Order: sequence, then C-alpha cells, then structure tokens
Amino acid sequence: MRETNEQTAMRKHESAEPSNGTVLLAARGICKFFGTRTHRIQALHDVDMDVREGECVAVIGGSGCGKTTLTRIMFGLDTADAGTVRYRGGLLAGPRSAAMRQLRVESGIVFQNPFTSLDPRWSAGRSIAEGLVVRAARSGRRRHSAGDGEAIDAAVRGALAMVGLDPDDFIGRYPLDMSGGQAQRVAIARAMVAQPRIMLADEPMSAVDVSGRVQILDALTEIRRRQPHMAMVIVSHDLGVVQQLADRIVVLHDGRIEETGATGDLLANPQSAYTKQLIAAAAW
Amino acid sequence: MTAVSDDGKRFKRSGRDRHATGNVPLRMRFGVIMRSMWQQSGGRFALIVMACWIAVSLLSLFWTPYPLLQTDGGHAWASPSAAHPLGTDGVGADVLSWLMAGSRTNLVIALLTMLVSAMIGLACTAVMVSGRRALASAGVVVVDALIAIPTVLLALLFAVPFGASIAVIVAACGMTYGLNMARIVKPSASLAARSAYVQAARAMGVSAWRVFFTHIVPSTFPVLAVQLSMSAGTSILAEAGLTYLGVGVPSGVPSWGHTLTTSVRLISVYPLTVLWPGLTVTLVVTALYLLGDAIRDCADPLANVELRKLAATVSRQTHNTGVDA
Ligand SMILES: Nc1ncnc2c1ncn2[C@@H]1O[C@H](COP(=O)(O)OP(=O)(O)OP(=O)(O)O)[C@@H](O)[C@H]1O
Ligand SMILES: [Mg+2]
Repeated sequence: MRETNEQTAMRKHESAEPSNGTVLLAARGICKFFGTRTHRIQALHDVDMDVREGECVAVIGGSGCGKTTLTRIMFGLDTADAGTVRYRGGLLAGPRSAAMRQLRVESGIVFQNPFTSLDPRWSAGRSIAEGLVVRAARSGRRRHSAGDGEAIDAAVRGALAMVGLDPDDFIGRYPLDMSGGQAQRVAIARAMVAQPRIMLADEPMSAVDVSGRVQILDALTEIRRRQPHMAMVIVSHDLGVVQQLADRIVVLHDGRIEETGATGDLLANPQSAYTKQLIAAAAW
Repeated sequence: MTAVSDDGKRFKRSGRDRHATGNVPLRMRFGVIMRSMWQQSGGRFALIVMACWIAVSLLSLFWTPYPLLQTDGGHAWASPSAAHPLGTDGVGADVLSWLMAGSRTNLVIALLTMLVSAMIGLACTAVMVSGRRALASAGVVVVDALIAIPTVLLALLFAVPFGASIAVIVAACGMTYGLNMARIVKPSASLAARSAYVQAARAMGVSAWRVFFTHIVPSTFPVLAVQLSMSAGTSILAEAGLTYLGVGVPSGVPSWGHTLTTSVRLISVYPLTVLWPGLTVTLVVTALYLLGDAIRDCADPLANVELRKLAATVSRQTHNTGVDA
C-alpha cells in the first residue's frame, strides 16, 4: 500500500516537470474553503496542476471532489484562498492583472448547461460573435468598419462549421429553437471562435441527452484534430469521452490530486485504489 | 460601372455585418412587432388610442377648434352643440380645444416620466446587482427606505421651492415609479447577473457596463415593458391628482388634469363637463396598461415566435444575396 503511494507520488512528480510543450497554465498549492466561519469545508487541499501547450487534460473524480472548483479557479472564474495560478508565467492577481486579461482573451470556456450559458434573447450568431465584437471595438477600430464585420462573419461561420452546424441555418437561430446538443455546440463555437490557446469544458455533455452527447464529442474531437496547438481541459464523468479526447488524466479525490498520468497508462494501469474503483465503476 | 459595383459591395458588406451579429434590420423587426401587436385585441386597442393621442397632440400644435383663451361668458357651462362638440367650461372656453391642447402636455409628462423612471430604475438596479456586495446591499436598503415616500408628499416637497410645474410632476413620479421599478425588476436582473451567460461574457472580457446593458437589462424586458407603460399611465392619473392639489401643471397650461379640476368644482350641477376629461384619462390610461402587456408579448424574441422566425429567415437570405452578388 505504501509502495503504491510512493509510486503515485513519483508519477505525480514526473508529470509536474515540463516534458514536451511549455506550460501554459500552472496552479500551485491551491486551497479553497466554502461555508461559514464556524462550519467550513475545504474543497481543495494544496492542489498542483499544469496544463501544457497543445495537450488535452481530463480532470476526473467522484461528484463533489472539487473538479469544478479547481478548474474555475485555474481559469480565473473564482479565486483561491491559498496558492497561485500562473498563465504563461504571469500571476493571475485580480481581474485587472495583465495575466488575467491575457487569459480572458486567449481562453474559451464551455459551461455545463448550454441553455443557461447562452443568452436566450440572443441569436446564435450574436452570441458567438460577442467576444470578437467587443475586441474589435476595443482595439480602437470603428465598430462598423466593413473589414471587421466581414472578418467576424467569416469567423462565426467557420466556428459553426467546425462544430458541425450549418452556418446558414444557425446564425439567426435562438437557443429556444435548438436541441441540447445543438445549443452546446453553439456554446463550443463561441468558445472556439477567437481561436483560443486554451479551452475549458466542464462536463459539457452531462446536461444533454445521449444523441446530443455524440454530436458534442464529435465536435470536440474535430476541434482537437483541427487545432492541435490548442490546450484543452475537460472535466467529465465519462471515461469513454476522456479516453477519446485526453492526452493526460488528473484524478481528483476529496479535494486532493490522487493520481495523474498519460491517458493510456493511467486507464490500463491505475496505481491508486480510488482510481481503480473509478475505472471499475465505469466498466459496468 | 465602378460606382455600381462599389454600391453592390457596400450593400453586401452591410448585409454581412448584420448577419454576423445575428441582427435583423430594425425596420423589419419593428414591422413584425407592430403586426403581432395588431393581431391582439388589447394591442390593437392600445395602438389605435396611442395613434390618436399622438395625432391630436401634433394637430393641437397648429389647430384647435377655438383659441384656448377665447372665452364666451354668455355661454358658460354650455351643453354639447354643433359649435362646441364637448360643451364649454365655467368661463365659456371650448372644452374640446382645451382637451386637445392638454393631450400634448400629458404626452410630454408621460414620456418624461417614463424616461426619468427608467433612468432612476435602471441606475438603482445596476447598483443592486453590482458585483460589490457592500454596494449592492446598501442599494437594496436605500431603495427600500425611499420607496416608502408617497408620490404626493414628494410633489408637495418639490413644489415648495419650485412652485407648481410639469417638472415637479415628472420629478415626483419619475422618482417613486423608478424606485418601484427597481424593486420589481431586481429579481430577474440579479438572476441574469448570476447566470452562466453573463459569466461567459465576463470571461471573454466583456465589460461590466456592456454586460449590464446587453444581457441584464434585456433579461428584465417582460417586467420592464409593463412597468414602464404603467409609469406612463400612472403619471397621467398623478397629473390629475397633483393639479387638483395645486402642485401639478400651473393654471393656464392646458392639461387633462386642468380641465378635470376646473369642471369638478361644479360636478353636481354640470356633470357632463367632467365626463369628457374623465373619459379621456380612463381611455388613455387603460390603453397604456394594455400597451405594456402587448409590448411584453410581441417585442420579446423569447415570447414572440415571429421575431425568431424573422431572424432565421433574414440570416439565410442575407447570406444567399451575398453569394449571388
Ligand atoms: N458555492 C459553494 N458553497 C459551498 N460549498 C460549495 C460551493 N461550491 C462548491 N462547494 C463544495 O465544494 C466541493 C467541491 O465542489 P465542486 O463543485 O468543485 O465538485 P465537482 O467535482 O465539480 O462535483 P460534480 O462532479 O458534482 O460537478 C463540494 O463538496 C461542494 O459541496
Ligand atoms: Mg462540477
């Protein structure tokens, strides 16, 4: 038993060192508490995690183990109570820090439920274009300059096509008139449209029915194929999905990193008892 | 030749521009909204009354049956006749002329009240749903405290330094209705403020202000439409009341409340004169309330299928013309 733990620790140590790509996003010593002063629960205990350029990392673990909390902190959507997150070497320190701004521009986020993450009063085209429109306006050029409009239109169409939706059909459609799988692919297109360096998808399939899941998985696979340089963090319960998409797996258990390793290795040869349980449960 | 191809290009571009943001040309959207409203009985009634109100207001700028100051002492409190369709008031002035001119004043009051209450209401909402917890809860407390002040009291207070004026009505109504609006709009606004689509926008670097006006305010549309039209309607009732109390429109300025006030003194002797301003006010206020409901049901893409269909068709067509050109 002790041996196993040591092995796990070794493996964790190894993978924390830069191997192939350079580290994009690095979390160190992350702690997070929830609750009141009298009744506190610690959702994350001193967690370290790296995401390298071009790799797809899957975060797996049981319900309530802290996957959402960890990934939200890493992408600047929440703040940690202790520890640091660095994006391309810069410290994420508050919404106005340079690293945070850069992360906002260079990251795309897909939320769990597409029907709450897309504004119901916005057509798909408008939602997808939102980030680009804001950026074009900010970069000092005129909002209505024809070149911008054309570039944005092309980008929106490209993003819709990439997730397997017909741009003509979907640009003017409202979320109300889409299936779950279609809406989530629109949300993925929104995350992809600015060609991010890094993308987060927190259980992108769990709010969608089975046929929708297949469509989303296909869309994500296509994105992996077409954008090999983009890093991706995917949180999922579904080991099949993880196996298809991820290069590396991080197993989280009760707010601690249980084990981490290359997808094939880890699934074929899990070290910790908890990971074995997870895999056995999935095999059912 | 060059000019033509230039034009064609520009058209294509503007089409694509709209297309990219999923926006439908305003004129087309307006057309669909109007058509949907016309198909509802309440909406149709509201539209007809609004059109008449605006038309009469404009007309009264150039023409009324009699000049307002033309009085005929011999024909005071006259019953309706061919010469005076709605009769005359206590100094023998033509009631129809005064009501026509008054519709202008009431239109201005209703519009300004709507504007002021929208500004105050949205400003308070912005504070109450702001990300800064302390500011937000302070905002809630202040709104709840100020909401207890009645419109009439506020108007009386404003009238002390400023005297009776349209500004007093607008300020008193705008303030109280604005606070009310903020409180009623707040639940849906804070729901939107915490929603994943706002988080998504913020994570893409969209500014808090932009998020407020493009996501949060539109999410309150159903409540906002009804509240705003109610502000307009209630401001007309308030104008009548405040003018009666002597803190509304100053004497000599035509308004429905003014006509009501001058005739209500002898209501037991000449009840008919009260009937006309009373009817006008009732009609217009009812129409305004119905207008709010109709706008809520017809101008919101979430509630009106036709609007969503329009967006879908337009984006398809815009693209096709782009390809053909
Ligand atoms: N806002 C919050 N307030 C209090 N506790 C919270 C809050 N958010 C998360 N928690 C707690 O933190 C722990 C980790 O939650 P988190 O949502 O990160 O889990 P998860 O791994 O994403 O679970 P799931 O697989 O169900 O999505 C849980 O015990 C949860 O109850
Ligand atoms: Mg979660």
